[in-house]
Amino acid sequence: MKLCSQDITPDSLSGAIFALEGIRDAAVILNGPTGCKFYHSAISDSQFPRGSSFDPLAYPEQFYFGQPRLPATCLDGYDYVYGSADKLEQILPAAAKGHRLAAVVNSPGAALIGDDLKRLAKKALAGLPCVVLESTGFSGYFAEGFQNALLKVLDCIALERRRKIPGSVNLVGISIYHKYFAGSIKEMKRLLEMCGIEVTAVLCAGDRLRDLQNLPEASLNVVLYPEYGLELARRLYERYDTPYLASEEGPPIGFQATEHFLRKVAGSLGADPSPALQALDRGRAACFQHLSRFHSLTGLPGGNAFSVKADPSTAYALTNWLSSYLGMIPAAVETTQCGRSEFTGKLAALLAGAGLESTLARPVNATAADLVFADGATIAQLKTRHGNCCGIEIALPSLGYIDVAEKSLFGPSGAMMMVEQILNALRFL
Amino acid sequence: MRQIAVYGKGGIGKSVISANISAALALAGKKVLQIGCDPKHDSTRLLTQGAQITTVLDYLKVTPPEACRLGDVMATGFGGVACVEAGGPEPGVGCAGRGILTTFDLLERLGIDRLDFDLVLYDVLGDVVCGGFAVPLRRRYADAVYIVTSGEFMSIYAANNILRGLQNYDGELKRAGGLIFNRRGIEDEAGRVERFAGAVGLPVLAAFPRSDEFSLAEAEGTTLVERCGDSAIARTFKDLAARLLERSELFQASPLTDPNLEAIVLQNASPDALPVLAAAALKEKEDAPGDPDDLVAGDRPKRQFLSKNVLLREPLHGCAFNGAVNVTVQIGDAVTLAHGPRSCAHISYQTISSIGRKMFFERGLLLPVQLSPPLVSSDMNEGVMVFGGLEELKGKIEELKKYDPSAVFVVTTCPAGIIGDNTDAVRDPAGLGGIRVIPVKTDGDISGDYLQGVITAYMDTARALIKRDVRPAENLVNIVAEKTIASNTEANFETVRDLLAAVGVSVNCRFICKTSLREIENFLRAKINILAYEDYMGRTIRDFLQEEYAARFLRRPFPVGFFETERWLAEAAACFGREGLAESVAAEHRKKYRSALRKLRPLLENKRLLIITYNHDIDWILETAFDLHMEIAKVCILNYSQDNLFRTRFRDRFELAEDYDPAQRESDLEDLKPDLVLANYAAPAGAACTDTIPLCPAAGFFSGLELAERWARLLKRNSTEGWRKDEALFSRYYA
Repeated sequence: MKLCSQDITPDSLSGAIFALEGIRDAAVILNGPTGCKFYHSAISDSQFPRGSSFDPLAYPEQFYFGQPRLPATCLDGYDYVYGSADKLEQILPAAAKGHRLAAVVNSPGAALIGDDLKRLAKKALAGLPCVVLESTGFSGYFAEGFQNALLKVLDCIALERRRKIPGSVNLVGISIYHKYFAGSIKEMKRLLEMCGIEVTAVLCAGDRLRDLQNLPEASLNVVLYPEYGLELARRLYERYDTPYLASEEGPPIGFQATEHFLRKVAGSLGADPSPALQALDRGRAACFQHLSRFHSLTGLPGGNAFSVKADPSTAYALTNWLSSYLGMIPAAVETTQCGRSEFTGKLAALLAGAGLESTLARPVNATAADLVFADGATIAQLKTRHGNCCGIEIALPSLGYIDVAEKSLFGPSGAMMMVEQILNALRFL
Repeated sequence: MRQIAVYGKGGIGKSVISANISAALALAGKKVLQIGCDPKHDSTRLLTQGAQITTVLDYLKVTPPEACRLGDVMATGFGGVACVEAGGPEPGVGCAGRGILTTFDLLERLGIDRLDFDLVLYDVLGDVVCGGFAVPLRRRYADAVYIVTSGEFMSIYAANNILRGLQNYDGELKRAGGLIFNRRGIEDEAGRVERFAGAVGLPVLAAFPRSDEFSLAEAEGTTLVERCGDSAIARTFKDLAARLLERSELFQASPLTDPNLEAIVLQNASPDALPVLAAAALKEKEDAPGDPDDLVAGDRPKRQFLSKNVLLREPLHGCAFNGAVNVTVQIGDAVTLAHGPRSCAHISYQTISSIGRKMFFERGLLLPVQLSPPLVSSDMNEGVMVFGGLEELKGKIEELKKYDPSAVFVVTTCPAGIIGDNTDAVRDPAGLGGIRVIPVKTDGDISGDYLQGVITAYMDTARALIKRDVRPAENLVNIVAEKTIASNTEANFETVRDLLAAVGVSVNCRFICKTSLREIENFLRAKINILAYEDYMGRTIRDFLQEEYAARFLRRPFPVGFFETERWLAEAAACFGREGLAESVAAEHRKKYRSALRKLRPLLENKRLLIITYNHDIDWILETAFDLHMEIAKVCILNYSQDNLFRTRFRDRFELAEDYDPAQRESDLEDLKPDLVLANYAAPAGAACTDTIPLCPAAGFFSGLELAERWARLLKRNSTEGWRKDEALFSRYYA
């Protein structure tokens, strides 16, 4: 048999769950079987741990099944026939206790049986705001589920338009499912603070409900990953009159895209980007020293073949940076399924401009390359076929490395981390 | 805006009455929207001169979400009545209830609630058959609910069921508007309806006679109100329409019990006198159970192989779909097609590949199935949920031919099960259609938990593939029921394979782990089968193979610890007449084992051990502890989804608590003061040291010894680790 290995990416159900799990003080309850719970609970807990213990006996068998996150009603065949009302009435008050917001998400099966979640939640959670997602879609895009869920949160907390605080922004379009999300957000906040810009809220990766409640006060919504935030930013503009900005260079990955991003945000707010640009220069300088030495010994990294598998905007920013800054040559560039993105066309144009449009037709997990920037599964698959390559993880699922020191994909910290990994990967090629 | 729902038994005349109400209101200058919620989509036909309008669901099938416009599904009928039909699948396929949910989602998304109607009328199919058809009952849709009924018993029965549905939604709230009586002309018809109305406390708002006026209007594709607006019946419609609009009094839904309903409507018996036939039959059986062999063949229940969760009706751990997929992907020359939304396949993909990625990253081990599982998703979408997904499934199977697989396993998810996709229609184990297709009907967790899925996949695979005419060959064994998601599966297999090789025996088939179709077909070549684990799953699969294939099993599963391994090897060798070889292997390991015990004993002797575990067989730990002269303070066995039979050869040598309550842990720690606590997950244990026990232990002579070496190192330390004191810091900065 020929190799049949397909990339089965998370869909709108996961997008919705991770959007809601990104609210630090929300209780997210899955109305569904434990088959849908275990995976999401494990990923949420490993990406965004909120408790120190992983003692399964501390998380009751009923609803939690020994895991800290995502209590579930544990629907079975009987519930699909008779409805889930009884289980929801039991779980909701218990699971929502001590939280500022409750969210109930139907699994795909539960979405078919039509229980009136809103009525049940209202009855069981007197007074506590509760977001209800009766259907997150079937096989929809992760980004779609993510943004739709956040819009429901905003519906639920019913924010009014407010006076804008000058020099303040919301960061939009990043989830706890993004690799190094916490470090990337921290890096963005650091750089923006250097420009005198304050971050009001991050939609939606780690903030509390009260942060989200302040989001209409921000003067600008800054989109980080456009696939996950552009539509949301448009809707926020309609609701709260908050203008938005998404960089044409994609997310702030690599030095050029970060510089462009910082100039654009600062320019929109009349802020001075110089201190942040100086930090960027320092990063460049540090990289220069290492690159220069490495280059004089090996002639690399220029000319090395690299592959990228990522969402279109990330693939665009990375490909552009690796080609123009490090002089590396793309071998395969593959974009993940995430709905419409203007970066699909931009990426094609970028590669066509270099006469490399054929790289878009090559699967990353089957194309030989010196370096591959992708999720852990793709890296492992490529290594089974072309052992002589090195993988740099930029997306989930991970190969299994546990990050203790916070890392960023964005800004100078991200660029330096990637240069570091590239240099360490190429020494014995 | 007022919103009303009109319910009633199928064929009772809801649509005719709804259309006439809408027409009457339109004549009164009101803006009306009528939404037909019936797959046969004929609610508004009389308002559109008989013309069919595009149903919402047909429209959604062919229109991308961003291109959807309200005007495309909303027609204008008589008097400007806005007409919408939900539509739905053909009878027998898909899920019509899901269709209603989808329709309401779309209409809301397209902003129908922002249009300014005086009245929105939902005309809803028959009984309240499921949550989908009950959507219009939700308070944000219907302010009031009216029920059309005739005097026929089944019509009144349906009306009563609708009141039950409403009661489930509302409790004591008042939303029932009353009954609309549509005569059929049967005996005592008005009496039946009046008695029912009186018993449930609802008014009869209008009564319509059987009349040719209806059929004549229908033949012309118009409403009676439009065709003969001055007739008495038309006037009744106009009066009724005015009442509905003026917010007449509403009532609490108070349905009757079935016996009461029958007694009141039919007046034929008191509720207590009604016979309950099935219960009586059960009672008879209880009184005289008789000999089961007396049962005729058709009555005899077929042996079922059920997981512990399913058998004991426990909460389900994981889903059968995932369990089955984890098994079928192990057949390397077959493709597994997950029939469901992508999320289901994604979760399974992650379950399978997680171990592969970590083993590769940490140990450099390449596990091809775990890194590139041959798994494909049918990506069921909203349209498939409504209209059924068999055609798409067939198309997907065709597409898979390009990989040239030996077979395709089609494993079903909850949504596939709920909408009733019949995957038997694609079954083709002989490959007559060019590709062998083997359905595994798990239906997500509808058929059970993860373990049930594993069992189902084993059975379906065996029944489809094992050739019964294959004769056993010498010196071959099968390995049965390995755990594919354990991290030491390969290591354990290699240990056992090497032990078998030492006595001249080879492995025929790993059933079902890293195998092929051909190996499974030739399963019966092996003379003996060896279970990897004799836990619940292992026992069930063994029972199945013994019952259906007369398979012979070695008495012991993969051996764990010295004693078991020594015995196991002797038994395995004896099966093939190689006893002498086994003894020489054991003697060599015995020497090493005893030497290690001598070194460890001074460190562990008299140390008190408390064990709290899900594992139901820990003799390999107890044996080592006893050999080291340790003291077993207590063994606490937790309820575990994968086993229910605690087994030990040391039963009287320690205090045992089965089905242990985790809440007791703290007091046990306090009372027993162990030196060392062993558990599957290390948890705070006061002053005691803690260490973990693997859920799937390592096979071989030294499994217990390897753990004991860790205990000795842990107990040698004199201090608690510094990091343990930093929990407050974590709470301050991260929690």
